[in-house]
Amino acid sequence: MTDLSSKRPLSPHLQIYKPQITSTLSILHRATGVILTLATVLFIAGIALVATGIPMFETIKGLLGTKWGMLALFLASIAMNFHFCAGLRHLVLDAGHGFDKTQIYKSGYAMLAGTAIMTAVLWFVALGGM
Amino acid sequence: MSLIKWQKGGLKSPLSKARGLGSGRTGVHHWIDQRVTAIANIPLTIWLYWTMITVARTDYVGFLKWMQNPVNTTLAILTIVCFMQHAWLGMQIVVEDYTHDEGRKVVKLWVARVVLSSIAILGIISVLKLAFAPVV
Repeated sequence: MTDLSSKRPLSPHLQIYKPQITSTLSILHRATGVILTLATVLFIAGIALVATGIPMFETIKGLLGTKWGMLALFLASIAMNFHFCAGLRHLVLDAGHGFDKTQIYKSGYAMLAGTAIMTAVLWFVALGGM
Repeated sequence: MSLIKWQKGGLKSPLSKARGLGSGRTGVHHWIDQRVTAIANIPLTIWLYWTMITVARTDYVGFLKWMQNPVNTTLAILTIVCFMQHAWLGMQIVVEDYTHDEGRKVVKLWVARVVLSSIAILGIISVLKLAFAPVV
């Protein structure tokens, strides 16, 4: 018996439904999660290389200090901070609070602000603030 | 208002919970585990940021000294374990959501599990290597 389920047409959804802050932030949370999984794998590979000695340590430090290295670190930090703040929001929702429409929108915007603030503070400190 | 809203008594009988009955079986455990690792990841992320900034400002000797502090060695291993467990739980959900072929799903989950756990072990071994390396 042939499986016809993959040949049947699907009704459009992504092309129709207007993106909302709720769905957009949710999919970004998932997307940053996947990106961070890859970043963590790379990071640990880096640790393994660095554990081999001084030459590798200096090489990797040098690479991360270049324009592209810093850009990669910056983007990774945005992904991490976003996922962090979205995660905090999820924990609050899991505890049962904040499901009201106004609350959800407020926490969504607060989360985006939190990401920006976290990233700004992190890079301010990292680049020699403290 | 309570801090965490709790359904008193729950919706299942205690015996059925103990037996893992119901179509969700161990699904709740997965959900709880994801939250537990998430909460652990909060301080671990702050520590990781602090470590990266410290190491960026020092040389290899300074890096070894940082990693050889037993508190940092422990936190490094905890970070690897909690981050990877959290990542694995997340990837499980992503694979299950977007793979429609049962066979492919099994393969993808196997690959993800093997890759993530191998990388975690590599990370732990590297941290231990640094922790016991002689400071020249």
